[in-house]
Order: sequence, then C-alpha cells, then structure tokens
Amino acid sequence: MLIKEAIASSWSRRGTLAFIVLTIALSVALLIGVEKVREEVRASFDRSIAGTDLIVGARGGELQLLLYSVFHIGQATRNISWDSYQKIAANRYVEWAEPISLGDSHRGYRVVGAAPSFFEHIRIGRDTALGFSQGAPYKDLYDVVLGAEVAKVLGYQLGEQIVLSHGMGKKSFSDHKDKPFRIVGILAGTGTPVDRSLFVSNEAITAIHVGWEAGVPIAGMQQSAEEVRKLSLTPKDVTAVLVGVKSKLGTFHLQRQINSYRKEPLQAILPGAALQQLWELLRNVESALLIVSACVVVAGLIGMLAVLLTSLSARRRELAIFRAVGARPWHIVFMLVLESALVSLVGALLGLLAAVLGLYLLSPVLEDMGLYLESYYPSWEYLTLLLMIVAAGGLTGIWPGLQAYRLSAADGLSSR
Amino acid sequence: MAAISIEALSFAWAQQSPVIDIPSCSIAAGEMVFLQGPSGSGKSTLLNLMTGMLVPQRGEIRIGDTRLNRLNSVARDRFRADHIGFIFQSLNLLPYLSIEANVQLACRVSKQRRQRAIARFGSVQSACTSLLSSLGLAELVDEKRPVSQLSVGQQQRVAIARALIGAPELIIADEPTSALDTASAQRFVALLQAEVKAADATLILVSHDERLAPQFDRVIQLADINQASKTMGGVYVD
Repeated sequence: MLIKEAIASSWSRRGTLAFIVLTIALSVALLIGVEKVREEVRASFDRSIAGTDLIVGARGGELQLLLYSVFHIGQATRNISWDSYQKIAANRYVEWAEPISLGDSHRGYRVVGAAPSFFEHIRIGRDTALGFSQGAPYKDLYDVVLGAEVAKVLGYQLGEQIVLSHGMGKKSFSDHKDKPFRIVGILAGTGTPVDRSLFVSNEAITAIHVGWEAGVPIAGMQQSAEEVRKLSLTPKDVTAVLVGVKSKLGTFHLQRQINSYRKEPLQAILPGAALQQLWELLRNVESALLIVSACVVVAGLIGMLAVLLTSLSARRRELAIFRAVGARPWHIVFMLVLESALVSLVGALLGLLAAVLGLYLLSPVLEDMGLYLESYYPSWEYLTLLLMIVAAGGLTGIWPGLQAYRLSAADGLSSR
Repeated sequence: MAAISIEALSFAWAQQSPVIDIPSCSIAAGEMVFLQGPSGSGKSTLLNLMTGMLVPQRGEIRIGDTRLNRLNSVARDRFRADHIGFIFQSLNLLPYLSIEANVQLACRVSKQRRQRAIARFGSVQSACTSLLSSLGLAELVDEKRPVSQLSVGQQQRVAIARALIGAPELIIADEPTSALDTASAQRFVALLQAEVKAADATLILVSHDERLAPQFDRVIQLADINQASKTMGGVYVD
C-alpha cells in the first residue's frame, strides 16, 4: 500500500501543505461555528419556553403572541381582561397561571409586570427555576427586580432607585418620574430574555399609570406615589397569561376551552408549536448561512486541488522512482488521495479545535448579543460532518492522482 | 536461455518516423552487456521498451519467457516490480526515506521480491543489511545518515542495493556513472558487476562512456542494431 512512504512524502512537504491545512481549518471552523451558533440560538429559544405549557393572549397571530409575550419582540395589539385571567387561573386543568403586563421600559429594557410567584413558576429549560443572585422578590409596591444583564450593563446595585419610562425606546420622553422604584433583587443569568427584563408587580404597573388612561399624563389627574397606594390597584387587564397545566393531557382540552371562550376573543398557543413556525420562517436564512459556509469549505478543497496539481511537476523525480520499482497506477493515485485525505483530516481537526476556542473567546461578545452558549463543545453529530469533509478531501486527491500517473507514464524511466 | 530477446521491434512516437527499429537482438542470461550509444540514439526509448514503460507498435520483446508486448499495462507494472531492478543516472533515492527504507522500497511494491528476500535471508531487513554491507554502506546506515547527505557515489551504491534486493533476474542501469569521475565510475561498475554476478542476474548498462566498455563481456553499439538510426542519417530524435 506504500502508506508509510506516502506519509513520509507528505511530511517532507509539510511547509507547503501547512497552508492548505490552515485554509481547510479556517473553513471548517467557520462551518462549525455557524452550525454551533445556530444550534445554540435554537436551544436558547427552547430554553425560554420550556417550562410553559400554554400562552394566552388576545386573538391574533400565534407567532406574534409568542414573540411579544416571551421574547419581547413587537407589541401586543390588545390586552386581555383581568376577569379572563381569573377564569383561566381557576380552571381545573391549570396548575399555575402567571399574568404579565408589558408596555413600559427602562433605558431600552422591557419592564414586565408579574406577580412574585412568577419567579417560582417560570422554568429555564426543563427544570431550572429562576434564581436570585442577590436580594429577593418584591414585597413593596415600588420594588423592582432586575434581570442579570440589566444589572450588569447598567451597573445597578441593590437599594438604588430607578425610574421607569412609558413605552419602549432608550430615550422615552414620558418617564414615570413621580414614582421611582427601589431595586430589591437581581436575578441570576439564564441566557433567556429574562436577563434583559425588569420585573415589578402587576399592581405597580397599574399604579404608575393612574392618571395616564389616555396614554399620556393628563393634567390635574396626577396623584402622588403615596396617594396611589390607597387605591384599588388590581389590574383591569394584562398583556398575556403564561400557563402551566397539571397534566400534559389537559393542555389540549384547556387550549380548546380558551380558544372557544365566548366573552372575549382569546387564543391559547403551545409555545413549542409557535416556535416551530418561527424556525420554518427562518429556515431559508439558516440554509443560506449553511450554504455559504459550505462553499468556503469547497473553496478550501479547491485550493488544495490547485496546490496538489502544482506540486506534481516538482514531484516528477519521485514519481519516476516509484514507477521504476514497479509501483502501479493505483499506488500513485492512492498516494495522492491519502495525502489529500490526511491534509483534510488534520485541517478538519484543527478547524474543530479552532471553532471551540473561537466560541470560547467570542462568548462574551455573543453574550452581549444575548446568546448564551450552553457548551463550547460540538456534539457527536459533527463527526459525520468532519468525516464528510475528509471523504470529500480524499476524493479531491483522485484528480491530481490520475494526473500524476499520466505524467509519470509520459516521463517513463528516462533521466530528466 | 535468453534473458532478453528482441524480434523485429519497432517503435515510433505519434506521427513520426520510427526511433527504434531492431530486427533482432538477444542477450543471454547472466551476461554483462554494455549498451553504448551517443545521447539521442534511442537509448532511453529502448530502455522504456525493455522495462515495459512503452509498448512497441510492431515486433516482440521478450524478457525470460514473458512476451512483454503482450501484457496489459498493469501486468507490465507488476512484471517490472517482480523481475527488473532499475538504476537511474542520478537522484535514485527518495530524500524523505532512510537509506534502508529506500532499499526496501522494491520489496514494498513487489510481493515476489519480498518473498525471495525472506526465503534467502530470513527477512527483508537482513537482506537489506547484507546488501548494504557488501556495498560498503553499513557504517552510513549505523550513523542513520539522511539520504540527502550522501555523496553521489554513495547514493548510486544504495541504488544498486535497491535494484538487487529480492533478486530480480534483470538489472538495467541507465548511465549510472555519468555523475562520477573515471576512477569512481570503474569502481562502481566493478561493484555492480560483482553484486549482479552473486545474484545470478543479467546486467544491461547503458552509457555513452566507452572507457567502461573493457569491463564488460559484451559491448553492443546501439547504432549497429538499430536500423532507425541509420535511416535518419545520424540525426537522432529521442
């Protein structure tokens, strides 16, 4: 088989081959990096909804409801009544129901109005509860709990006072200046939209909007923070309700009941199914990314082809020696296939290493973009990918191999 | 029995007049033949025909009992591996292999030569060691000297070992002394002949250097046997 000789030959040209190894390593690192980030984005989205069985909101697009209620993308067109929430909470299939009120913000971060029990019921992934890195859930009306990223980026400490703004946007013009909130808790990082949220009670949302019924403060209707405490602050409506069921079998019964509720147009969605719609939408984008990175790998292989073909003229002497000792055409082809397969293998392994290292080094940047990597290590599925690249690399060697044979046949054993 | 016999052999490159046209030529087994011809006389073409790298358009070339011109290309490669040891003018060795690995290369390709080496010496390794020491190269092997640091003469001697390992019947050397001075060339030829004799092989040494001729049993002038060179009026195309 002349394996030993082929490897020794490749090793003797390691200086040139190193560049090809590098090219392939870079392309493989890119491919794996893109795949890994794609997977992690999916995992991160899945993590955000894993503990919730149903999301109830105003009737409209399923995906829209999922996006504004959990991922804080877009706005609710309508709210649902407190009365409907209470009906849902009392339903026999329901284990827990958490009403959330959206619409306010603090320096670009969303404010979520939610009951203190929200922190007990919401799960990150299958069974990790929300944890506090500092402090505890709110007790007072004007207490606020921060997501990990909010606290980190804005540099807030427990006990500081902050002011919420009406609506979204980093420079909102209407602040709820008269009713400042005190920071009582900071949540541990989760890698979900929770990190980029501020939490206050549903009652607090009502409180800061007293006198804002028209959407802006109306002159003469304002009441001070202390005066507002005396009012009934039970919300009239909420943006959405997150529901956990007692048994998974009840999910569909409950969904049907809510969807056919007559008093108000409600919809209940299965967050997993709605998320699936999102992935359907994004599939073309994902494919495009994958195709681009696959093209880079192909470009790497073409580069290798060019180098192998160019190297042949310098290897004529070597080929003549092999032919003189009686090496058969397939020996020559095999040597070049082995070389290209080895170069691809080393390139692919280095690329894998570079991808892991690159993700590790880039993880702070990705975290800033809201993507928490669960692990830097690629799964075993990448093994197939790597094997395919090595196989493609080996196949690439066939052409230079045949070319080498033709060259050696033409040269014969003449001294050149 | 003849080691090589040629009958009405003719070869031409595409669309050109023949460069080889040999009505008849025979070399007996065990003979030491000096094949002389100026460069461009068709020597290289003849060597390529004898080693099965080229196929004649007409005529027959027989090595031992085998009609080389009747074999397909894979069979010719295999035949060359099993039965012919070849020595180039220079640069015989693969620079990335050790001296011993270079010698054993022939046995790596040919199973038959591997088996013969084992039958005679017990292992390919000891066949290699024995050849190298009788060629005076044992010390270089012990030093693990890289091939690239050998002198031209030493390299050519390693090439003898590779041509002879596994006892092929026919040894063909193409101008093996052209890079050596006269004294070294004569020593080289003597060494080569001694080894070929010890192996009971046949030697064909091609050269334009007639000073080597006296050392051989038989001298063949290529111009005498090749009709093509006459018809071309001394203008040789190779």
